[in-house]
Amino acid sequence: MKGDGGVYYAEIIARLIEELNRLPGVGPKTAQRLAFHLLRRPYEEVRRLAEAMVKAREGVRRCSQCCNLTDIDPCRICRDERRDRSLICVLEGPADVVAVEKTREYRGLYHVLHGSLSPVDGVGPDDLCIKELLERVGRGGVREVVLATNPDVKGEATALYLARLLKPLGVVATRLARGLPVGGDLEYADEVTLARALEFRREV
Amino acid sequence: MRLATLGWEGFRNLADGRVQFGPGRNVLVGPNGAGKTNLLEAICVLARGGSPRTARDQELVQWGRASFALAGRAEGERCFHLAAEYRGGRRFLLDGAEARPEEISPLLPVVLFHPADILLVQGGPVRRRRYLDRFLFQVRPDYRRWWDQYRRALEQRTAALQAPAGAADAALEPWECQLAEAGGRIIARRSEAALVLAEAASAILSHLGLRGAAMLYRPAAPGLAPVEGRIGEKEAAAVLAQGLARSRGVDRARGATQVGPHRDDLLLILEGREARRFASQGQQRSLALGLRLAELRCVEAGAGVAPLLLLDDVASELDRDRRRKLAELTPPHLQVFVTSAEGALEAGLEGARGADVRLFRVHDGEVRPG
Repeated sequence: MKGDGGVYYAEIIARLIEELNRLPGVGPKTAQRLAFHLLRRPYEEVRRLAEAMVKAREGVRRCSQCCNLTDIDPCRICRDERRDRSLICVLEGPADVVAVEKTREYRGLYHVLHGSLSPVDGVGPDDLCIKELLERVGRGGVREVVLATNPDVKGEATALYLARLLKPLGVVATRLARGLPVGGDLEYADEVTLARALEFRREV
Repeated sequence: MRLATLGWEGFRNLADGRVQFGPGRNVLVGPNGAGKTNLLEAICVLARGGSPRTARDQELVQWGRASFALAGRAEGERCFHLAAEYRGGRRFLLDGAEARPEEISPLLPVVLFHPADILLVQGGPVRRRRYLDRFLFQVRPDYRRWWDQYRRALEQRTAALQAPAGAADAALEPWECQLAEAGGRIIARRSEAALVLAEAASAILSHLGLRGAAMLYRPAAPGLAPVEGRIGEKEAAAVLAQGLARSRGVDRARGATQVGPHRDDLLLILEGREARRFASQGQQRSLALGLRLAELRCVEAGAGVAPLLLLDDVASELDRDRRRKLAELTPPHLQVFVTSAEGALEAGLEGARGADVRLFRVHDGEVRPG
């Protein structure tokens, strides 16, 4: 899109498209469609959207305990007295918290790292909320930390790194099981998943 | 397997077209630069998911076009449609559904022999690693996944080594664990592949007049000696993990990882000496041909389907005697694609048994049944 603006659009529209284009999953074509859609909608509707975005950005910060995004500190989950405070589930991002919450199976607390280790992208331990996690565990009362980072190379490395740091603190570090998707067909499972599922098989 | 039809649009210098191939020997004749090799390349892209000549798909797009598309119908043990297209990104379709190259390549394995293959013997270890990997991609469906994990973890460890703040042991270890896990499997599989290929090669090489040939897989991990035999994946993983931990000092100084399958080699031995340095040019040619023919046998045995054999310009590389032996050593049930320069038509026809030969004339990117 860059450089085309002056030719095809008024400068002001080109800027809007450029900004939308920065959003994840939005390519130049979608950005253009979204821009023209916004320009067709009533003024009031667009103002509400812009306001909602700015308000959310202004009102949301990281929870001082779990580092998840929140409007109140500590966040609602950390405040909840019914939750098991001896159990912490470590996740890469806020979206992962939503995924685990939806299972309704987990009653412990969370810790959001805001990323995974990736020296290639210049992301080291200091760029993630690792210090906060160690302080939290160091204060005591935690029995188990579930390392639920993604099962890819970066997520595995992050989990291994954390496990090494957590062990000396006297807590149990666990990793989510790797195996077959429920309701899936064995025949269609990819070989690596199947190999891992075999490796981590359990007695019934 | 056989490739019954192939269609192409916007690919290299080829004028958009479609041809029906014969089940036996397909001879592509035309002057240099006409597009014969591009046609073989198109078959590779469709069946293997990549060109043997370049890793950049953009280079395969015709000058002045934005995209290319390939489509083909495979027949034999199974019948299916394949399509490959590149429009900024690549996409592969198997019977109309999106598929990964590693799913397609065991279904329609391809073995390619081309003039640069002498570098398998003369060149550096990278070509011999690729020879083993190419084979494993076609017969072990999970190999590419381990290989991808290894490559990603290696990039990360290398970046960590080069970190301006210096790489603490704790920052390297998480990547090393994964390098060892995937690398152990790669080593185990390569050792097995080398063994299987060496067995198949020995009879072929003696038919080609080479005696005392051996293939030794040499993993780049201290503690693993060059072997003619299988290495267990657990053992390899453990040795690799140790090797990585020990080479941290050197690796930091060089900013690169010195240990692991990305530095493996496959030693080719002739009468007790390394063929790369001590064999004659003629012996090296025969050895390279023998390696490809061994691959042909082993791919068929390993993938359970007959591979396509692509022979690019063998006349320039092999003399009459070796071409005759090549024909003798090619199983008659395989579908073969041969390119041949105009004046050397007989080179493409040599040893063709029976009347099952189909001729195609390639001129200025136009392909016509001849």
